[in-house]
Amino acid sequence: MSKSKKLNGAAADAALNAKQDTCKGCSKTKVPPVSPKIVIADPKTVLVKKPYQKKGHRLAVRLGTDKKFTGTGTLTCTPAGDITVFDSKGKPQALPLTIAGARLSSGLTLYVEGARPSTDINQTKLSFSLAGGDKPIINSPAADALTCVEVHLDLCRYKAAPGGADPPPVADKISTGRNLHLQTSNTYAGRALLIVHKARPHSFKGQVVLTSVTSGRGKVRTFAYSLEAPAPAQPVESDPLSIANGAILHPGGLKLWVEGAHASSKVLDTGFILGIADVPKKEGDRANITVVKATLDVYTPGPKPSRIAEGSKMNPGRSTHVQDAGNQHKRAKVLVRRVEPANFSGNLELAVWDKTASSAANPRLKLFAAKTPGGAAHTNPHTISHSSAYPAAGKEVWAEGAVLSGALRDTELRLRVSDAEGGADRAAFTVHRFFVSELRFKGTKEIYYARVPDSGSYILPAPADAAPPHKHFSPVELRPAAGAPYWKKKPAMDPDPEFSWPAVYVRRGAAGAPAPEVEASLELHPLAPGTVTAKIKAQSAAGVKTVEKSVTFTDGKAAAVTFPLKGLPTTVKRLDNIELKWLFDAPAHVTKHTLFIVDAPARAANNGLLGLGSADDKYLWEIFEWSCRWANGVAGRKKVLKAIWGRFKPVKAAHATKLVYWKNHGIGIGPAQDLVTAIQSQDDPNPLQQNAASCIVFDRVLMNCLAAHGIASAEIKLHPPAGTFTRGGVSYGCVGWKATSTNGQGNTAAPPGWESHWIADVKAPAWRLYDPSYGAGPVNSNAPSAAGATVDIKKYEPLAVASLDCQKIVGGVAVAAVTLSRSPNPGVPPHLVGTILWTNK
Amino acid sequence: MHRHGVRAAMAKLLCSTAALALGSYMLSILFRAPGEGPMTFGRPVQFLESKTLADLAAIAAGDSLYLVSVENTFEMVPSPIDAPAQRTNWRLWKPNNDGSSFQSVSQSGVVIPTAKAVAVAVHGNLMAALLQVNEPQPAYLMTWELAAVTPPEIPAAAFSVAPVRLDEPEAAQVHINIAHDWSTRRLPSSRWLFSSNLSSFPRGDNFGIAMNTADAHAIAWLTDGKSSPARPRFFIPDALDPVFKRAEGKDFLFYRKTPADWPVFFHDIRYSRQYGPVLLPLMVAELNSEGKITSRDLSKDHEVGGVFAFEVASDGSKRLALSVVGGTKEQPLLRVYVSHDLGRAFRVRQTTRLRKVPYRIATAMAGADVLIGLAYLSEGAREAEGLLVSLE
Repeated sequence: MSKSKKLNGAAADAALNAKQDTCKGCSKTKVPPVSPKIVIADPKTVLVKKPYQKKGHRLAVRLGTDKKFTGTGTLTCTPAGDITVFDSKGKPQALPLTIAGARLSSGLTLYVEGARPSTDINQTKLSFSLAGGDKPIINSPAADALTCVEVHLDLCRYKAAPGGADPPPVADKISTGRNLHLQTSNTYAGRALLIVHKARPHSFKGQVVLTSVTSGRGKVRTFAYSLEAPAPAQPVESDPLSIANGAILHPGGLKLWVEGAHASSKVLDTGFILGIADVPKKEGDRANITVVKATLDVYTPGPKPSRIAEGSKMNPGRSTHVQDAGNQHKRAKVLVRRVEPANFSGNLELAVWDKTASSAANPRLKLFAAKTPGGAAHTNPHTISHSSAYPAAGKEVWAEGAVLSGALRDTELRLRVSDAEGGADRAAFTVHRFFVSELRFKGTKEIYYARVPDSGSYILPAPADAAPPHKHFSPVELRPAAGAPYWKKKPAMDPDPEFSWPAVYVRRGAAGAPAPEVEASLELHPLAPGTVTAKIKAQSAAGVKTVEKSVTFTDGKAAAVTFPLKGLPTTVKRLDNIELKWLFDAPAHVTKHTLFIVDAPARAANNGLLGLGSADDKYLWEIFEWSCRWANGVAGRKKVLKAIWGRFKPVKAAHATKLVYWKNHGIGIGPAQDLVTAIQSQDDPNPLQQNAASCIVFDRVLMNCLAAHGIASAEIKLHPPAGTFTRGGVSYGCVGWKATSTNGQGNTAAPPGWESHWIADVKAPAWRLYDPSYGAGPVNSNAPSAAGATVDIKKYEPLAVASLDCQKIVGGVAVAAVTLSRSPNPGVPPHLVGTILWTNK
Repeated sequence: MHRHGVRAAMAKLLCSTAALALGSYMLSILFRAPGEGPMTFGRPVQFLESKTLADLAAIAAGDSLYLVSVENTFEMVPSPIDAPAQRTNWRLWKPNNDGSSFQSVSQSGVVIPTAKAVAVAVHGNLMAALLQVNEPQPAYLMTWELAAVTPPEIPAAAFSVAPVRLDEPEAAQVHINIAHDWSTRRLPSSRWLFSSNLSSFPRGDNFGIAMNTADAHAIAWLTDGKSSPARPRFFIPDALDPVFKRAEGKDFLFYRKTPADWPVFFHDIRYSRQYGPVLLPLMVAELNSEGKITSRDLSKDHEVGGVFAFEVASDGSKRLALSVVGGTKEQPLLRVYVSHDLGRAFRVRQTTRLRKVPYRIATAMAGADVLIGLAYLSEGAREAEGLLVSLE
């Protein structure tokens, strides 16, 4: 017997054993009468038993007689059916209950249980009457009354969103109960409706008491009806919560919102019980609840993803990229942990949520079971069955960008228990599109254009430079223009380039070369306010790559981010049409380029614009195109010179530049005498004029091709000696010479004689003379001094000069044209003079 | 709004409307297409695109004005002169009345030395051409006698051929910076001549020749067209693109003033594209009867500004038509000035935008009209345009 039952029984006994009345008139002559006694234990209130209860609240009722009694006593209840009576062993006793007098003499305790609420206070009346026996019976029947109080608690069904009509009660609040999310500081969890109905009989004036099942640990808590939507710092109702029954409305009841405060350790291990203050701790009704803690983990990108800290899950959240047609972008790892309680059995929902539209429609992410590309995406929301068999390590889900975000963190993964209000956990995502907007190569030399090419290595001129085709620049123009990028994307989200100009770098390992870099301006769409930090790098099949950098995008843009370049070739290369794949977790934007890799830092170029200082030091695109093609794969000054000179010697029937030495001179065509004009001449409307080039052009092709790779040279003009000289006692003056050969580059019918001719003095490492027009040389020379001075050409002269065109001078007047043989003796004039026009030594 | 306010607003509106209307009218005149209005506001009309266009000239023959296109055929023919000669195609183009179209009115196969530039002028029945060849001779002056037919037809055989070259005194003054030299075969660079320009003079000597040396001396001769010129009238340093005019008994040399040490070869688009067009001040030198030369800066004095190219047309009277190409390289502007006092005062008659800087501007004057020819060198093509301008 429980302690309370004992107490109730004692109270009844006390009443029953009070001093018995005496029959004054019949003290000696008459048998003293016997009276029935009935006492209902305080508080004379019993809770109505609920069907789910095996045993309801019971209240002791003491029956007895004031004298020994041999008859029978009968217990009845009016109205019948308000209570159920049990004996001390808990066996139900039907009413009217007849009890042998012998059992009554010493008193008998029965227990009553509320079967239905009384119609009013103390309106359940027990009557105990005696009959038979050996004594007169008086004061029979004895009576007492109690109140059967029924309390009722409703736990309402799942409600999808706050507001609107109240949901109906759940069908089974005991065995099924409700699932609630564990509330966190994020207030994702919703609240379920709990209704404390007015206890019956409605006239019951006592306090109805709502107590959480785990009161004190606070696994669940209640809020006022006005506080359906959770928010921080909302006042929690007291627990236990006592409510005057009179204050409870009928039929509405007292409505409260309940949320999970601590995770359940077992299913349905919490909830509320409802009782009344008059019978403390007695359960009049109950609603069972499981507080579920479900957690979502999101991982960083990269080959070894790490869990994003709880505090970063929503901000900055996770960035991912819109998947491309080739499924190149990796999926983001998401882990749905095993919930608490571990034996929870139910469904979890993982939804991709559009925060802007507040909808799960048109999700910006797709969820997959597998990490690798392909496979069908899960439906949204994705239902995950959870049971005690759920993996302890959780289940992986892989998220892939499907639709570009409109704002940062406008997409969320939301995890919830299917039938619990609100959500359990969230992680913010931004689905980006990454672009390189501009690139500036930090190479060694700028490239100038006399003509915008449309063949050869990859180049994409800016629209203004693309028309007319082969646009000419006179004077040459720098591309990209000063301050402009080498590569630029078309506006908005068009990944195509607006233009792409080649750049020049020095090969890896070359001495004196600056550390190669590329400066990138990057865009991370959406171009929305806020900052995002992401790791960015570029790589290419050619081996050229950038160092990975952590780039912070402000409002979607990161300007002028300098990336060190790695993997440049160790030899001269013409990296034509290489694709730099810019990675934002995967190749997100591909930019195409031509990179000319030279052997060494370039020396000054020679374009014949003497007196213009650095204005002359302008490398034409063709110089890099030719020289890097010709010296492809070699390194070192000697090898580069050999490779380039190999394009001139032996003299070519068709020169690699397509230039033709003094083409069509016989019909009066004058060749281009400078590189710019020669390059532009390929578009001359007159085909006879196209590509006609003089020795100056071939000389500068050679010299500039060498200078581009750091090889020094000097431009040498050959000409007859000025003034007069005496040979054999006769005075002469020379105007020109007859050449040893008419076999120039691309032309076997070059002019037979000259008044001047251009060759080069090249240092590699000794100084030697090279004649690129005829493929003659090299022959030893000496180091050139300054422009205007002469250089020793004695060893070269026999290669070029057959005889000299002179005039016999008499009295200071030319009287006859004569041809003088060239003497091998340097002391016998005439001999050509080599004048230094320019040098970059 | 009270009554005064309404009246003021109405007046303002009317003024604005009038201003707009006037502006629209001016714009419509300035930019009217050829043939739509007064010829003085026309635009250059393209009449020829040719891969072999060598040069373009403007001539006045009788009362008519023609543009002459000279196209190379590179059909080489034997020649008595020491230079490769070819049959060239000469076509005369005549504008219609308002200059809105040009028609080829005559075509001749003319044998000439292969030339970088051809300047043409007509004096009476004599047509002369100054052929800039360089190697072996700097230039030739060829003449043809025109039959009395309209339009003129150029005979196949030349009436005369005479070399044009520097005499020793002038040649000795030509100094080329060694850095500005180029490779030559048969004519030293110091003997080369550039910027050929030929004028016809109504009285006295028939033609005026103006050329440049390689160091930007301007040299100008008078010639009867049949013999090599001698004893230049002008030999002025730093004077580019000279145009020799004789009027009212005075000799004028118009030119663009260069800085010292100007590399003519590499600035001549017919030879080199290194530099492209450059704006230079326009000058005029006047040779008085005592042989003294005085120069005036037209760019400064008449706010002509720097010019890329220019040409002067004269009928021998005090009237001059000066056509200059200024503006910028990207947006060149043609302005046509008229002077009725031998260049003391100029008035703008026409301003029009050009699509690029021409490599030849040629002008001829007849009556009240000036005919302007413009030749362009583009990527892959050479084009010719014509513009008829009324001076009245």
